[in-house]
Amino acid sequence: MLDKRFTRRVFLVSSTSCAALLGSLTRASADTYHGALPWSPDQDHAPVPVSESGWTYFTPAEAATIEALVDRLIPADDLSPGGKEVGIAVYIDRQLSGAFGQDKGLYMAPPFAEGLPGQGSQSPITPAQRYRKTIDALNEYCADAYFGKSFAQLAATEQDKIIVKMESGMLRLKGLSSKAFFQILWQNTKEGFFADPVYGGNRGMAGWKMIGFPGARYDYLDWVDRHNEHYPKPPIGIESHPDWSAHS
Amino acid sequence: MRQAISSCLFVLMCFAFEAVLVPPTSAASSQSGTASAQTLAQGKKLVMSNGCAGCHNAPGGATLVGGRVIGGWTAPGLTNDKRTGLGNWSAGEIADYLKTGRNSYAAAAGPMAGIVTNVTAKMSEAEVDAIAAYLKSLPGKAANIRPVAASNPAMIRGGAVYADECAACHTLRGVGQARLFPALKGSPEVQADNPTTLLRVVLQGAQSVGTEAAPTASAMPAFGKLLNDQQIADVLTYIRNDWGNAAAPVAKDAVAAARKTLQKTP
Amino acid sequence: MARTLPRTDVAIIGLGWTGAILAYELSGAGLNVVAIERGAWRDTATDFPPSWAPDELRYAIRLDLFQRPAQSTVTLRNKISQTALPVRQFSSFLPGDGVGGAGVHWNGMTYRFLETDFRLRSHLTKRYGSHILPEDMTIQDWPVDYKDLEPHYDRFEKLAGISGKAGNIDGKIQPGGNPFEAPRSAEYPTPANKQPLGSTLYSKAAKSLGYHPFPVPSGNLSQSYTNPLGVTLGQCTYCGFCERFGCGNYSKASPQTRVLPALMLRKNFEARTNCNVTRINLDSTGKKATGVTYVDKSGETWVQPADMVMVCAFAFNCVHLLLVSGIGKPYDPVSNTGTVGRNYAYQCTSGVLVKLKDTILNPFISGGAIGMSVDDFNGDNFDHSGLGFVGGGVISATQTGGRPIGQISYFPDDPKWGSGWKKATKENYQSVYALGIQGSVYSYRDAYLDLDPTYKDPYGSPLLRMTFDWHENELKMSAFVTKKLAGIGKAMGASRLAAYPRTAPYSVVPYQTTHNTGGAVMGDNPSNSVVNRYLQSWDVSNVFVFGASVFPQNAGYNPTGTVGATTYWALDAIKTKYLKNPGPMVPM
Repeated sequence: MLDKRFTRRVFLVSSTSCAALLGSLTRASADTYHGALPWSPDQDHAPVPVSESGWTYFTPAEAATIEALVDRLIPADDLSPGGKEVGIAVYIDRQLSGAFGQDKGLYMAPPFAEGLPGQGSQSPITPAQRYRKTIDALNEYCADAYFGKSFAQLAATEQDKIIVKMESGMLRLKGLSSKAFFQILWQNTKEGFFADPVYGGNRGMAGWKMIGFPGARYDYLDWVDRHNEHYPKPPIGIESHPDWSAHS
Repeated sequence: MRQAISSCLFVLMCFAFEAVLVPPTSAASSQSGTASAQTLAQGKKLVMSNGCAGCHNAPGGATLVGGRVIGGWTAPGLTNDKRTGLGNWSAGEIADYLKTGRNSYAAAAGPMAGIVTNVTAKMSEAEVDAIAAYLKSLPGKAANIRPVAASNPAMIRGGAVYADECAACHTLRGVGQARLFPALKGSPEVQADNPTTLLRVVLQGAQSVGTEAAPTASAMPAFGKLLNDQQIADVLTYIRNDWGNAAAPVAKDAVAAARKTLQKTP
Repeated sequence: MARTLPRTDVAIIGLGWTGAILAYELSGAGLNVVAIERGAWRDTATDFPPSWAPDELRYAIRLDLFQRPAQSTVTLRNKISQTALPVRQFSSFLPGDGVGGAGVHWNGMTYRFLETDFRLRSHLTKRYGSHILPEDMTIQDWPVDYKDLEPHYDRFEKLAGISGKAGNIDGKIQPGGNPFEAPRSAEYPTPANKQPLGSTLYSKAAKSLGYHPFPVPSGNLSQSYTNPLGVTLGQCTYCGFCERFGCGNYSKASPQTRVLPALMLRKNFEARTNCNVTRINLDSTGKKATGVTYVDKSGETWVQPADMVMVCAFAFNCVHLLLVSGIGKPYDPVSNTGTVGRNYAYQCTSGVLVKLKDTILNPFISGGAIGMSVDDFNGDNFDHSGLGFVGGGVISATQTGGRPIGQISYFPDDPKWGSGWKKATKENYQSVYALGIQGSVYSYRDAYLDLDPTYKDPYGSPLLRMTFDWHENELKMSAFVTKKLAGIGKAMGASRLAAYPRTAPYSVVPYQTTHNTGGAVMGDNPSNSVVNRYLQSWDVSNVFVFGASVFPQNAGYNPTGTVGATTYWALDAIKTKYLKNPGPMVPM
């Protein structure tokens, strides 16, 4: 979806009738606009919903680890279902197999030097690589420390203890920064809890319902000066509109 | 740009009056009473000589009552009928539309965009005033149709689609925004017997004309991928029958057929 | 091998606010104008319609509308002694990309700078004595006065249709507006926006403390408006997706909704997108530009000859182009010579979190520029005697949205994850309000831009290197003004409060603001500036630079109003003087 911006509207120069009618307006592969505000029918750059089942990046074992992690970060309780049930692992899987996982669009030219914290990340490791390597190291750590068990097989209290150690960077994972992994995992977990359901997480708009965010609505004109009143409508997503079919 | 080109070609074929037009009910009333016989004659002559009837006459030939489908767009009626013609527009609003491509209720799109650019925007004030006076003098067919009941499931579902996808521009009250987003309430285009234009505009989107006097050229997004046939049928049925509008419901099959047609000839 | 295109009168680099305004005015003056834009064409219905514009992940987190660092970024170091490293992922600031530029994704806050901001050095030294300015502070008076710019501020506000309430019309203070603002010739084109709960409570509290709250001048329109170009803008529906988003219903002022529809009807204008200008070409004397070289998206190189070159990119990219093209002398802080890259400044933002009892804030009902501001502690609106710093900032309650991934605020002791975090999240969403400050940043000898010795962009040019850190003056200012803001927070009845004044060192990691200024500053002589008072290069008189890179230092406001005003000001001179007699408009 993010890449469409680089390829769209090539039709403008491929249409010779267009050029003939409107005068010479082509410049090799430049997208050239001249004579009228450009518009063409049937254009749609809406996000394409991710596939609902299977894994696109994780192996089943990696997926089980992430599902266990997100279920502790966002546990099921009276406020919402847990991270696994709302699809956070699915969300992360789809992100890692997409542009985000490859650091697409970021400046990734060498040399990679150790910088000051204020200079931002200087790591050549992509998010996809970081997940794979760290999950592997984490399960190796668990196998050593818990008699061959993987992270997903541990009791919740043990899992929480490990997460606390990761958060502070105290967990030693074969030279990988457990803190850097925690940070990206937690950021992606929040995304999977709160991003539009088209991306695979936030199933049933559970994250939005928890806080009372109405989602992809675009018109509160009648509500801006109704202070201290709960907005009454349930959330909607880009492709999530339960009330459209409520009266079928 | 494609749109501009197809409009240009269309000019060569015939003259059309189209619009994602529109009007509410307040300022109405015919002004033809105040126009002189000479003005009405001039208006009639201009309408005839510019070929308006080629598109805007009924399929059976009745004068300027609309209903023909040309190039994938339904030509609306131009008579003073309030539901399917221009009865809700003042003569001034008609003149404004012809001169600038838009007015408080509507903006020209599709084939009419080319007509405005190449023909009516170039007319003198007196000429567009004469056309407006003449059109206001046409009584229209004034058929009464009962709206689909608000309790109809299609209306309820369609209203839900409308609130989520349409109201941010066309407003919950269906009045749009003057000179920017067409009003749906009272619109002859929305209430036309034949919903071809509505189907096209919702499926593919549409751009309104930009003229020197009113360059905005605002566009409606394409909903063909976001909405399925049932949802489009529901929302069209809804806009055709709320806010005092009345028109036959749109069936799911009609949406499917329009998709096919548009795929073949966009 | 570069291929040469037919000559044009004007080549514009970058089609954002300034490029679009210039293209409209200069094509209107009969010139042939070509705008060359690095990013893609963007329009409302195709690129961000209401159905899927409100997508936080795509636009606010993955930054769909912004410049890709892979295409162009900067390197950063805090001190001259350090090694600069590339900003591999934008976050502290987010340069725009594509047609409309930052005008697509901005919030819409459209202030005017204070009268004293324009004669900053002479005013401060006159009022307090020269000792008040730190030795390494390199602020200077603008070469234009507020009075010069006033008609042009007015023009930009009318173009954009800004919603607001005047505080001073022709010297007469207006109730409900900002009493500190410089005299305006007219009221805002459209009335102030309606206010949500948070900014209403803020306004009440500020008033109770004797301050002077006023509605933020807003590019999110309170009502439909047709501008002098005949283009119509809609009424804002308070959807809460301005910041980092394109507006889906034509209600936020942008080049798309204000200028391009009229511009594109001009037969003598052409826009080329996905074309990256890599240098401005000079003739053998080095005193005249012959046009620009650009690379299209297939990688082919083109030369576009032009009589005038208008540099309208983001501030960084303007300075970068001048440096790689050899226009003007690069600034060297050690020898204190040269001007290009000098006086880079930023904005010193800070904030205060307040937890309000028994409120339903509905933070999602909002807009990018909808809120209330207080100017009592901006610029030199308050007595700085004995405070140990100069400058200030506009302090505001503008909740720009209720986006759940990025816009929920937490107190330091709120749980970081797990059930405790969920509980805090739910509670804070409707009760915690983030108040903010846009603080001034004055310029210094060691804050500047030059070319990086190591890192290169995909076209083989060195990246721009930023050397920047916070200075004592700004940190003291931030501490002082943030304390004042906390006072308002308390008066709002906060049950909890946390103040976050700015702390050193400067970091590119947390988002702060995209108000990067300077590097190609305007001034009254070639030794202190890159461009003259008409934004014309001192060195190459047919090159003009527009946007915030010409600010000699940064004031405590969002910059777009002043960017628009300086653009119209320079345009007037170009049309009335330069076109009649091309050459330097200010004698050296």
